[in-house]
Amino acid sequence: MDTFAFDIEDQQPAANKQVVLGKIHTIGIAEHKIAQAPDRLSTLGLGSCVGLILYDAGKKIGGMVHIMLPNAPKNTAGYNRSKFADTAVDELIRLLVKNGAMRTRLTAKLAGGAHMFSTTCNANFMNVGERNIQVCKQKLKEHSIRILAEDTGSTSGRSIEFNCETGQLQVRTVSPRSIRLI
Amino acid sequence: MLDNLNGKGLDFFRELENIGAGHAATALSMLLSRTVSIRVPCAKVCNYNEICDILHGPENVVAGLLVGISEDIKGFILLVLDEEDALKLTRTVVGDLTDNMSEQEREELNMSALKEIANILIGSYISAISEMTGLTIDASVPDLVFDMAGAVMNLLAVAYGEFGDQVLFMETEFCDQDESLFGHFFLVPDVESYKTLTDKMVGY
Repeated sequence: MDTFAFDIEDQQPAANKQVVLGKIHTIGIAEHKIAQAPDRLSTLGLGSCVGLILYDAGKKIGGMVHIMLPNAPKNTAGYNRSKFADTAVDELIRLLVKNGAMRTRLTAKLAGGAHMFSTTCNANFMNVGERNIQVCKQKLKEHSIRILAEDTGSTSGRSIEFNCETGQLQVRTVSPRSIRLI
Repeated sequence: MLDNLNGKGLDFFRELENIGAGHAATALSMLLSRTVSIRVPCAKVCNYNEICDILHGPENVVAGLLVGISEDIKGFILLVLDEEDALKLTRTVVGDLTDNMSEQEREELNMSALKEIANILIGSYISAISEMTGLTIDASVPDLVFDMAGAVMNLLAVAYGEFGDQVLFMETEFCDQDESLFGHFFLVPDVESYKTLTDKMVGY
């Protein structure tokens, strides 16, 4: 597990600087949304699912997707592309570019992919978190998108909130209780 | 996959849940020496984004007890309790045994008690269903996590995710006679076992 955590105190804005807080867009399972500064993107209760954020820091436009499974089924038409890692990455890039982001400027942050239960039975979907992360990274590599930060793996669920103004991702966990910015 | 599950099919699953949870409630009431009743069980097909609403939102902290099932029916059974209710339940079983213990010892004993309770509940649940359907079901050792409801219920969505945007689940609420103690039972057969179960429905 790689984490790039900062002390949260360091991230507080200076007192004299006015902070404009935008709307929070909440994303459900297998959904995606695009937002621009000062809005924020959030998804709650990530278990083995992965929250992937692609961000264009120049235009301050970001997109988040809540990915559930690693690979889309073959020969199934009309499935939800945001649900699967291999199709969700392409889809999110396409939507961001359509909304004015510059493809070459996109960077990624990801969180989630936890291993919630250690029960060894039903092995096929028990390690789904790990595979979600794997496929995400592989797809990002194919698109030459750099991963700036990640908070993945482990055994705790996460809620995340991405600030399109600062490009920072807040990761909250309840066991153990923690909030950090990556 | 779940699209053709009609009223009669859901009735069958509801009946399964009724019998399973009924037996589990009896086991729990013997354990607590108190009356434990169950609410009308339900079997539903719903969108996976709706699941967490049942548990008061995705960020609500719950205790999730997971038992994997194998043999004729594969899949898992998930018992979900509110964090507070889970601790209440262990207290009724463990009693004042933990008074002189260190924080860590107490936690360990509580966790172990909760797992044992799950073992008893899920064991009686499974044997009732197995008896009703004539299918052999084997259960694994329970696994316990305390985490956000969303993260725990992820498992349900993942189990059915490849086949559609909907999940089948069966759920029962337990309540204790004087203090309300709610537990949610979810029987989640995998896709193949779902077929095995519906085949049983023909003779039902």
